[in-house]
Amino acid sequence: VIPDRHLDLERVLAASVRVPDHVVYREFAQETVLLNLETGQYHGVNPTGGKMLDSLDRAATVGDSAAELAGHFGRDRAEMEQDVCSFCIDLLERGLVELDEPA
Amino acid sequence: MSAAVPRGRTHVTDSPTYVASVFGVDWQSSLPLIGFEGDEAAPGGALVLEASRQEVRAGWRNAETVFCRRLAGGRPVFVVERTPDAYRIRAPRHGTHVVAGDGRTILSAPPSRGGWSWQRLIYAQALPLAARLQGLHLLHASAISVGDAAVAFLAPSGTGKSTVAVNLIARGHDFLTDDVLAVSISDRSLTAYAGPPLLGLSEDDYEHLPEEGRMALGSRVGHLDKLYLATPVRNGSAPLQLLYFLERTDASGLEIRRQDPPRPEQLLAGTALPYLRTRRRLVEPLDFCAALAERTRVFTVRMSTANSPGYVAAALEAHILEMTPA
Repeated sequence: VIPDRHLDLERVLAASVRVPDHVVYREFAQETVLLNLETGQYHGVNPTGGKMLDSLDRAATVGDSAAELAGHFGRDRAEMEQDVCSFCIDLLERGLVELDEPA
Repeated sequence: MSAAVPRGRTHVTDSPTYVASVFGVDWQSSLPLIGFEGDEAAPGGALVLEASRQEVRAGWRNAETVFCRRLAGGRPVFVVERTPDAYRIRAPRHGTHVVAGDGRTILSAPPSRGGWSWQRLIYAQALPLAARLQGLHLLHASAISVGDAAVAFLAPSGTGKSTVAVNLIARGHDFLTDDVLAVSISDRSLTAYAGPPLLGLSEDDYEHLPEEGRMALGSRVGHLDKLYLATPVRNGSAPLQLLYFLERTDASGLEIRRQDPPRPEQLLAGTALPYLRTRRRLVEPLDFCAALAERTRVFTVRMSTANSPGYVAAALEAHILEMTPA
């Protein structure tokens, strides 16, 4: 079940994000293009989204990623948590990432 | 040996051999295709072999249809099917053509009524697919060579990429391809390869060319939906340096603006044969477009609907020459 972006913030922040085997992505100068091999669809995200994706792919949890990105962009952490959570759910809805939630 | 290429159909044997280099592949054919010349069979070339209807029908009962274009009434006018071993391309009055999975052999069953027009399906679909399966990358583009550089024009069908190319050829530049451009990637550069020596344009565009320009386009092959010309291809390949995305607008004037950086979604939309959807064939265009973005200069050309083809060609010629100094 895809989390609700307003109600399930804590649940998403505690989870880790994984880019599944059926998704590949390439960085271009001003865009990151993700390809979902199951649907054959390409998706573009802007440089901020590309940075978020890269951070999410490396961080232990979404919360850790939000903390790193808040530092990188000089943003309030709570705001960044909302943005990163929303971004994760956008990617989840398109089958571009998977969430591993703690047991 | 797969059902796609029956035993004994692995080389040109008992018939004359015609050879040509098209889309970066050296072909030997038992069919006298436009632009192919009679020659001795050389070992190692890819093959176009004339086949019977029975040969191209066998083994396709469980094939997956990967592309089907239909008329408004539902009748299919262009179908591509796939088995694990091969692709089959067919269209009414254009024959049936089976391309082996490695792209090295095409079994071609022309339509019974003959003529030349069915060859457009070979050139527009079968040979490009075979080149793609052999590792070439494809753009839906017309292209010319200017000096040592290949210059490609991309646009949705009907926007005028062929018209632009034709008018530049009429101004003395060399024809490279019409509609499909094959490209290979090496460590440092991209190489664009010539397509078949067949070019389609409207009779109106042709009549508006100056006499010497019409001569540069070669002889008439015939008239179908367009006028088709056997346009000489002088350069087999050239480094791909410039890409122009053509757009029609109602605004006046003509604008050429560099895409810096190039837009990946536009590059991806310019790649050809979208029905190739295996994992490898989907990932390769991403890497191809990354290489295009990195190693070519990409421009958007906004042309007014009021601009004459000659005016557009003159403006583009000046721009190309500025971008590719001798």
